[in-house]
Amino acid sequence: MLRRILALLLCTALVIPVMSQSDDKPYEGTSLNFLYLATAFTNGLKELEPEFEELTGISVEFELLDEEGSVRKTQLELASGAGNYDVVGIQSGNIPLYAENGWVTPVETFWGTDVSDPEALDHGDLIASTMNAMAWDGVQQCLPFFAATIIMYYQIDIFEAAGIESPPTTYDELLEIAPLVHTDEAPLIALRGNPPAAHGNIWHFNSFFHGEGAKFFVDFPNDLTPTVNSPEAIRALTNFVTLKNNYGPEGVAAYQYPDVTRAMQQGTVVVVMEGAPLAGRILDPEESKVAGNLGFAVVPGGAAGPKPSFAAHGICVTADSEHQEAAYTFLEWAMSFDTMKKIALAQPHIAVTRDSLWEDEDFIAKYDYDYGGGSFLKAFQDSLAAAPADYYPPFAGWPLMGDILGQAVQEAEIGARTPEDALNHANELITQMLEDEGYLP
Amino acid sequence: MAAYQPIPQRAYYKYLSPSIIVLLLLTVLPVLFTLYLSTSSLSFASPRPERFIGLRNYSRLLDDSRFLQSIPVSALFIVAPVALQLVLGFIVAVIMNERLPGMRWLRYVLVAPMVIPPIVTGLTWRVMFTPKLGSVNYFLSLIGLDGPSWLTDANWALTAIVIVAVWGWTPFVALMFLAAMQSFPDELYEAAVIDGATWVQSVRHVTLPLLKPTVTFIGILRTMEALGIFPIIYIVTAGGPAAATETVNFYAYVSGFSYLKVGYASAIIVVFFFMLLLIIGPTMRFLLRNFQVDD
Repeated sequence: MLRRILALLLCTALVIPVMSQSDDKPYEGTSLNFLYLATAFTNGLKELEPEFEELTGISVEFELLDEEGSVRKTQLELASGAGNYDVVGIQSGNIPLYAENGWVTPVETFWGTDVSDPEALDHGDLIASTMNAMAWDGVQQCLPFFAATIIMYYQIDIFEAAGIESPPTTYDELLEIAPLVHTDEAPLIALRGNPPAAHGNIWHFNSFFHGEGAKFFVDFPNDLTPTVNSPEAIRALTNFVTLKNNYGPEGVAAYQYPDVTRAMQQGTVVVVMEGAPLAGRILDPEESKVAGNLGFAVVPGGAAGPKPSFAAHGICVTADSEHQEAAYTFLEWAMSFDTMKKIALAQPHIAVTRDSLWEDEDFIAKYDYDYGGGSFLKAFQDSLAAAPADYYPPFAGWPLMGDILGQAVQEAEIGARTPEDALNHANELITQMLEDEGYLP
Repeated sequence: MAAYQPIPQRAYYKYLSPSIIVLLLLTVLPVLFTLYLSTSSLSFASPRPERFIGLRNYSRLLDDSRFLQSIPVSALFIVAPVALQLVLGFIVAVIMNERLPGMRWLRYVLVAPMVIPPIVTGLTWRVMFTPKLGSVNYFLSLIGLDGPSWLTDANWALTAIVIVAVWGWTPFVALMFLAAMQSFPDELYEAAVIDGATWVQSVRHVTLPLLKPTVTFIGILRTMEALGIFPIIYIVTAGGPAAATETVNFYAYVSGFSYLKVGYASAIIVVFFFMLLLIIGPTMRFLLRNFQVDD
């Protein structure tokens, strides 16, 4: 009798969890691990996680790191195939690397299956350029949550005092006004200096590079013979170095983005070309001395017009995750209009990737800064429209190539080589690298 | 009471075997695997599949100017900080040993750099070295000096790293020297005074000879620590400007984790390993000679 009772209890214990997984919560009890950079969006996701858990029964553990650390750890984890993380974040420049190595499950594979809810995701509403940046070989790999570009921030009162009526639209104009506003106390311009390719000086220099109409290769992706020492590229680097060395703060060649942001916040420079998503920080009234005195504009351009930086950040399901469907369910929820809007309103998450959110009244009311120097949101949108989709050439060798180029830019800045020598040297090193890695015969 | 039974020699090996096995798993196997990787073309940035390429990674190192530049930088970051730490640590210890007022508090203060995480140390110094914003050039200006651009000039960036390393570890060296000095018998100093020795002569002829084993030990300890210098470079200069402050292990990190050239990074690490052996071997022999215990 006792045995029967025990057997009955055991069966009941086994059945209860199964019964508790109702049809609308098929993955209840699943626990996901999320790894990425701490951004306004990912911080917001972490705060909203209890809502997701209540909705689906799936819990999510967040591990949010600094930029360099998150990229390195993610790559190490994915390369090891350990399957410790179900969802990871990604910068668009790494899409080829992750896709070619099979580290992520393309989100397209879930579309049309039971797990997908096309209305909730509404991927047609996601900004096309950011969706393209998250695709590889015509297949959607990940979903974009962050549309990054740079805009020009400038101090309105200093421009007005110098009689400058509108912000410069070309490098020549910028160099013309430089002597009018530049002083030792408040130099004209701060731009990033250290080389790490993803978020260092290349984030800015490529804008000058594309702006002069320079090309990285003879004919990407058919002929990857590098052309980073073309006359256009040399002109771009000369302008970049002239601006920073003649009109930048001392030590600007080692500036990282917090240094640039801090310089603008403190009003110790007149102009910065920095991430539009950093506006919340630059204008934070508790930390900024220039809040209320900044104008916003698309960055200047060269012979090819303005080419602001462009990168998207996204989230992906890892290929080694044991919870593929649950992880995709989380992606859909995270990328839904409601979640993105909640985060945009609760956090300083300006760089949203939904067209409809850019037109949302609440969103516009929160973010449309205008202090007499033009609308922030207009400058942001115009910059996104002008940003080249191939800002970073989409191939797995870019991290190394970008770093070689970044080193050359810094060499020119500190006077170790002339711009021409630096780019000739970089072109040789890149050629060697491309041969070594099998991109060139 | 039972008579003492010596444990048979074989039993020692039996008792030690678990720790030896763990040690082998954690040290020898990774080294062997790194050796294997160093002969492969493994690179996540390459479209080619991984293949055995023999010693090609090593031969490339000989033509890699960035790698060759990192060797003297590594040497500089070992020799300069350790030498300065020993000299400054000795001076500080001698002063602290003089039982002057406030020395107890100075000891507490000296502990601070040792307990601050290297990341915090690096970030703080990075801001301090920044011209205009930082305090280093401000203090230099107070004595009429025009501070350099620390992080954008190759030579000054190297100097900056040495300064941070010296700041971080001189207190440790001083406290170790102080602990040793306080164990020296007072009679020797009294005898020196009776013989008419000045304070400087006492330090020269009594303190320094007695301190020799400690200097040797601390020197070796700091040398081995200095070989692993990484977080300070990572935070303060990120290896720049233009790779001027990259050490061999920093370049291995960049090659492996930024460029994803795993095979090549492994070859750098193997070469670094043999460089360590070249340094540690003679220093260990020196240590054993100085600390030989008579049976």
